[in-house]
Amino acid sequence: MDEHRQPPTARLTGPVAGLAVLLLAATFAPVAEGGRPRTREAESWEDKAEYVGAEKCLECHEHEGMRAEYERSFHGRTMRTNWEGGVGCEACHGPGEGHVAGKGKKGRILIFNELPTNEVNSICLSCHESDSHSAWQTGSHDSRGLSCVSCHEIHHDGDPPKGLLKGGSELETCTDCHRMKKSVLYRSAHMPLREGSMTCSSCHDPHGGNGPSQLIQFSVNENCYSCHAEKRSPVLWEHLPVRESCTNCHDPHGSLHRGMLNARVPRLCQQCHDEARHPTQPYDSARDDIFFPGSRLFGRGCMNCHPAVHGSNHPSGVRLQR
Amino acid sequence: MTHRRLMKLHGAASALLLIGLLAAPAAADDTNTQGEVELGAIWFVESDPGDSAKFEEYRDVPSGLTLEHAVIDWWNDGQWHLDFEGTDLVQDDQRLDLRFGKLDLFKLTVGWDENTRRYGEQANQLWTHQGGGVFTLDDTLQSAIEAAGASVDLDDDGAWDDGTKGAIIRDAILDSAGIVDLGYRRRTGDMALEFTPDDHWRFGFSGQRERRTGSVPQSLGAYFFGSNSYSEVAAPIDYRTDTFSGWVEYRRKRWNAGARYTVSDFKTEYDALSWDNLLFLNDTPAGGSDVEPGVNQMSLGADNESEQLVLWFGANLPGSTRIYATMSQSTVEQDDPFLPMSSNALLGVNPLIVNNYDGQHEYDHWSVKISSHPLPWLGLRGWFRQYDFDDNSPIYDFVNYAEVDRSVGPSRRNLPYSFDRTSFGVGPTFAPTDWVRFGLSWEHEQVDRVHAAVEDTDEDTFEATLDIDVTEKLFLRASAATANRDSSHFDAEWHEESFPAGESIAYAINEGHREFFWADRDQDELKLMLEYTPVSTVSLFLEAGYLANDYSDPNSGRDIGTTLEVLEDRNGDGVLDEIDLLLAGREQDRTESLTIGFTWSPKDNVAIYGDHTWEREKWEMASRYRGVSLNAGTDSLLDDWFTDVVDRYQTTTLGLDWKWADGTWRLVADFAHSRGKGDIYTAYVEGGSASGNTDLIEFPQLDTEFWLADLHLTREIEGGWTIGLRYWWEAWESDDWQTDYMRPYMGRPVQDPASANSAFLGVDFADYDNHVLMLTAKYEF
Repeated sequence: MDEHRQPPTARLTGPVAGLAVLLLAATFAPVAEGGRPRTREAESWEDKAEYVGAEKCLECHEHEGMRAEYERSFHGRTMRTNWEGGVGCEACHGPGEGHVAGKGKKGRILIFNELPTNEVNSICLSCHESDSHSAWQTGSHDSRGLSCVSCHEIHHDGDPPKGLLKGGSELETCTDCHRMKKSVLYRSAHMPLREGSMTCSSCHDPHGGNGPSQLIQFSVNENCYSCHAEKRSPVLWEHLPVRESCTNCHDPHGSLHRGMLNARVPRLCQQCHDEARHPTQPYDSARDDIFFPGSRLFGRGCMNCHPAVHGSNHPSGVRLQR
Repeated sequence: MTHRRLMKLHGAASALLLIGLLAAPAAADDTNTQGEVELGAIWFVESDPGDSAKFEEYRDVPSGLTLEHAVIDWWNDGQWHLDFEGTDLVQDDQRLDLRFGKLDLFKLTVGWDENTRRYGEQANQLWTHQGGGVFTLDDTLQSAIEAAGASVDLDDDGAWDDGTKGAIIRDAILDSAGIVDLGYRRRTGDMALEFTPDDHWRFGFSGQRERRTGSVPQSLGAYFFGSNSYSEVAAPIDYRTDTFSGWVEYRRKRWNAGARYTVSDFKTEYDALSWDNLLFLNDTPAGGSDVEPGVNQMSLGADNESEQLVLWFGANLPGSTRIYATMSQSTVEQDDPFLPMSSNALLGVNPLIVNNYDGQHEYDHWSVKISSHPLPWLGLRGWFRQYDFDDNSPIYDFVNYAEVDRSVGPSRRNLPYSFDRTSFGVGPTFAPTDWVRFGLSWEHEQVDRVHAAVEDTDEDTFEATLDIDVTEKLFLRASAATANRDSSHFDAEWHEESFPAGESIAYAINEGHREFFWADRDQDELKLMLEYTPVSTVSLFLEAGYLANDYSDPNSGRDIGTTLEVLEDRNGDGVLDEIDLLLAGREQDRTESLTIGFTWSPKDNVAIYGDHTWEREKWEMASRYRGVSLNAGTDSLLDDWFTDVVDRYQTTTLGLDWKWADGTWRLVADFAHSRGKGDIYTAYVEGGSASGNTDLIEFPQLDTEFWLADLHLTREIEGGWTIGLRYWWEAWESDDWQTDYMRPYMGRPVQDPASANSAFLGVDFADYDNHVLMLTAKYEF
């Protein structure tokens, strides 16, 4: 193995050292008790109030169909507490003592609809801030003022959909805001979202993500390789724009052209290949008084002769012909 | 019902039975079981064509009995649970998910997913696949083609004259080309086990095997001169990707940190194809040092292994501040053996200098992001991100380089391309009230490249956002961004480095060409989402987008598409000549879109909704015909040509959801119509003759149209049963000059002499028009 080649574990020395510094800084930082803050207005009564237990809550809220829903939901069945020791209803809504004593007084319980979004998110994240949700507060959805309950409905009447999504399905939830993305699904060349074999979260992580546009992976290409592993291999003759970004040629949300290409071949290729000789022909197929596509335009057009457009591993494949 | 579906039906029934047995303790007091099973029967009332590949491009819609959906949830008071969900259980696009575990302790998930990919109704293949990626032709046919005269159309009837090579190939395609099935199935099985023993720890591992088997249309490349060209076969694929992951995360009140390690192994059963040359039975001398090959070959995907280590860390600090850092290190390697430089035994190429390619890519990423809400009205964000792509593969000089299996060309050197991308930025947000928020941000991105025309690029992006949320009345998200990308210097001749000994027949480079992803760029982007709810029963919404990119030359600052005057001695007389150089490439692009829609709920039990979307994507490009071979070529303004590529889409959806009789009856109706049109407009300069052609014929318009009408009527009856009747109409039409003449393709002699030796598969999607009736019975328990 060449000297400059190191396995991932060996290349981590620097980042691990950085992480250790951050970890130490966080551990000894003067953080108020409780880590994630609860609502500012409620802190005073929250600190003083006692937990009453979910049974007490359901005594009054049973008429709203809460009991059946509560008893079947993961949120209702989990015995895990939040960092303050709250469990069940009070894990999210805070200690209920004051609310009960006040005969349902609203100012003595946390009501999500009346809280600022970052405080709603803090409540959810006090349990869910792990794995991909760790990135929520630094993601673009948070920065635009969305809250967890913008997409998730915690209390469901009837069968809860996967992920407690508001729109029922993931596609419906996402396209409730991203309307144009719904129309793209009807394009002639599209990913199989309409057919149900993919969802938005096959590529994107709405909770923050690692890559641009909240992609799950760290770059466009790494995201695509997670399903198209045959394209990730290093090859002898690379095609540069392919390695830079798959989106230089493909629109993963759909297009009019086969393979979800951004434009029709030959023009797609000609936007870069205008050095000399045949790529510089306009290819209007004007050899007669009618249009008839020549064999350089047929089918896959330029790729009829240059099929290894993603790169060739053949010793004589410099022109991506084999 | 096919044997495969029958097997799936048995499998699904067995799985449901097993799950039922597992859930049998439901009879006990402390257990709960609920779920549903939906059976269906499908009739194609009308189907044209009978087996539409486009209709089933990504799905399986069988005629007959189906098991549409099955859900079983079982849990007990001891925190144990078992959940199963299956969709299309007896079809080739089935999806199954099983989750089992003890709440708060562990979770086991098992999944199975299938889907199909079809390419066309029918394909005719002249070659016979002998297995192992080897395609052969009948020797008699090869000999007959080799012995026949050149393809001509002396009688001018638009077809190759009988007895010529072209006529023999055409007749062979029509008479004896075998019918091959084109398409593949993707099957994915996965399993994951995760433990959460306490509030702090989470760890687990997962494994996945993905398999793709079938065939894909494969072009065989061009081999010039007498060799066959423009040929296709149904290339077999058998891909297998195995992926294993392990992860651990530790979480406390103030911080959390985790690590994930993933290894992935990709293998293909077919990493190369070889095929008999359509025109020559054996390797045959062709004059000089050239030799016609009897067999051609190409390499396909290579086996490769990938490993990735990801670390993440987050900390919550005072002032609602969150620091989040991620690090990822990935490696992809392959060392597949090379195919020989040439399959042509008479060509006399030297043995390869190495037998395999020891290729390695590294992807290193790390980022730190900070988000803070120190005051109720103030938010602050900052980020730093570095992404490095390094190609650590070796560089080889192929001195004895075989040019298309027919001749030995100039030596070539591979140039492993790498880049580093670093970006950082800040952005405050202000919220003067609880219903409005606006933000500003700035980001700087720098890209450094190796083996590229542009080695350094800097880009600054400024963005302003406005978000308004007036509870249940008005929702608005708007943003405006402007970015400026500057490239240090554009070296149009950068790839001459790939000729280690210099190129003896150097094709003159068009010094004026500028690849769009390396050129300077001004970008403006506007986005708007608006939803207005004037009364509780009506909601109106609008989404609009505008993206504009304008490209310019990094060296001169001039716009792409304009002309640059340079002084060069093109004719070698020692005197500098004034040359007008067109700056060629993508001049600009525009993407515009607008969606308007509504939802109307006149009563609690009725909802009507619809929207319409207009989209337009336009590229403007400039180019110049340069028919050079052995000299510098000309740069005549008359060779300049320009083109606009415009795609337009209009999509309408309309829906109704209506319940009556206390919700026991329900009608869900959906309608969609989408039309996409693509135009390529080409223009020469006045009096121009790009490519020696003065009679410009425009490309025909591409036109695809899709209709969907879906009516689903359900009636809840007693005992947990729901009966449904569904009528589903779907139609698709396409006018596509690139594929509409595919069956069979032998070209038109007057327009395309090269078509004489073509042997396409003739694959195309036929228009379809399907009327489907479905009867469903759902039982909920």
